[in-house]
Amino acid sequence: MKISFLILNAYGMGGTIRATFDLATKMSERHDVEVISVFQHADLPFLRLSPKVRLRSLVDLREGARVRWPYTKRAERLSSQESALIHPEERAYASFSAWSDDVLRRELRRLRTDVLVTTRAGLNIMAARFARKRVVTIAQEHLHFEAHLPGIFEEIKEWYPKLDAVVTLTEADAQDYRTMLGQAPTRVFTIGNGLPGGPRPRSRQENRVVLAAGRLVPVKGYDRLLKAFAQVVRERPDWKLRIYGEGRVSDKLIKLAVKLRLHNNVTFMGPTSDIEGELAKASIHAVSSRFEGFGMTIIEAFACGVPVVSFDCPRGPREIITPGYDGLLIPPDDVDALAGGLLQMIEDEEGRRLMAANALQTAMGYDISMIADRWEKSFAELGR
Amino acid sequence: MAASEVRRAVTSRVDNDDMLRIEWPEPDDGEIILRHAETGQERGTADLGLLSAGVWTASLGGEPVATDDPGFSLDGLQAYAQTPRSREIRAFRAPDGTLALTVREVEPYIEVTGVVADDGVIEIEGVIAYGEPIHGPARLVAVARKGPEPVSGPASFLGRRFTGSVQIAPLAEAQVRRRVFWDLYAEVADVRMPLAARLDDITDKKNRVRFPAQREGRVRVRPYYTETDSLAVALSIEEESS
Repeated sequence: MKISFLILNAYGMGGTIRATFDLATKMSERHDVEVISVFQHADLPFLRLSPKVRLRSLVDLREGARVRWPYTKRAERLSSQESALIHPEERAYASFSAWSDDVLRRELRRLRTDVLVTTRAGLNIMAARFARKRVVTIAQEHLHFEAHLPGIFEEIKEWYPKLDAVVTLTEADAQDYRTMLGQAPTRVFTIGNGLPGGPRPRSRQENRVVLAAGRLVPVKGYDRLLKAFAQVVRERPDWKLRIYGEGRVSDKLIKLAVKLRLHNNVTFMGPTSDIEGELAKASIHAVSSRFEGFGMTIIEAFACGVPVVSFDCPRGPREIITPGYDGLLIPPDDVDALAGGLLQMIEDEEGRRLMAANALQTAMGYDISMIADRWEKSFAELGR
Repeated sequence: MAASEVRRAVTSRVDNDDMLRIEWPEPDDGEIILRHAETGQERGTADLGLLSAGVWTASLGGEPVATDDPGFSLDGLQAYAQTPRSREIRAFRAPDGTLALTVREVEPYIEVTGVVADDGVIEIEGVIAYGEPIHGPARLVAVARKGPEPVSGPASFLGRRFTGSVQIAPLAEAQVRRRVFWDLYAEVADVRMPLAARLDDITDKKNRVRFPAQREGRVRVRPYYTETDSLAVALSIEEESS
């Protein structure tokens, strides 16, 4: 079977790219797999992709890149014009141009493949509009259903019924898409992101360290985590919080940590290329997000034997965490309850070790081979 | 699944007697070889005391030793530092999942465990690392890198525990330039031990740890970690505009 993944830019770093690469790599063991990147700004991808997967790009943004005859002049003219095919409310709108419209439409009209998996709203709509009839089109949604602005949502409502399937990360999103699609023949599947196989380091539950990870942006709710941790420290000054990642609110968060006098207990660790190694040094993973599209770090923490204390925010955490078994779900936005949950996990050492062992079991269900099987089952159901 | 066929250590640590202790899922009789990353020199693990300073990677049968152990515990590093030593050997797991050791020359110092910077005072709590326990009164001494005479405040040792404080007003009064940096020491019987935070895996503390700033007139006083993770205090005259 030939499977094509269409992604905005395969050469950067981020959750969608990593999930797509891991899945493509796994599927390339049994199928002919390619990743088509709309844009290319670097010579090589930042994240690992199996050499068995073909990677190609449509619009080369590298310095000195030339568009081949007979498109050279056309590319020059259209590159400076705004995209007319991508909705301005698509979050990556600024990346697109009239030239990328042109190239993308041409690519989709001529692409001969068995299954085309597109990975974001703008590309999903393009596939619905321009992919060949015989290609099975599957739209993947890495964004939470309500994250789409009204304008692009109208286009989603108009075009998604033309797709063969929509794949969501959470069951809650799947319900919303089913309601939206109504009588349309489009199937909806829920398939989470998978953990690549292979060994990973394991926490001994011996360091009094709580770890949080993710971009330092408001949606991650680190302001609330800091306030909760200030309460934790009053009871347990021997515990530390490490926050990994970088982002535009880092200054604000550092100031808040200083204001809360957390300098002896909280460290902003910056980005890391080895989050699993860092998780394995910790004993608890904290998720303070206002919402989580899926919650990949929860699964990574589980796979390293680290239980999770998470706000029960929409939408991922409650579908991954079984409260009391491998973690705790805290009423969303309740800082006192988050502090209480962390303290509960800190104080109950025996319970925490049990949850750490259970977390390893839960993680097995997200092994990439299980996830790839679920994709293949959905292909089979959609087969023509 | 090729990757998981490589045998992986369950535990790989340097214990308090400077022995490399590796536990495998099954018994193993192979010999671990350590290789100095810089010079390529090779050594066995029988006497880690022979290792020169630097990073040593571990291999078994010609293959790097893969490990699932993050390599250390923070309590373990504290316990290790309770013994007086001149060299520190630590196991760690490299980001690629393999075992390595770091060997460092050390001298006794005070490992900082807490800093309070409020109410016109800087207070430090710490423990003696790599040195003998001490009992009795001491001084917390601030030494300007250039210019003013040292300033000190009361301190005491109780075995391995150290507490000390210094007023910020005398530091600020001695301000002669826009910026003055003061290094901190514990002083007892004319011996000065530096204050630092090194018993963890956090690199670049200079940029990652931010202490509260206090103001003494127009002088802003803020403790910070230096590039060697030593504790120092920066005094700077604030701009008119701020």
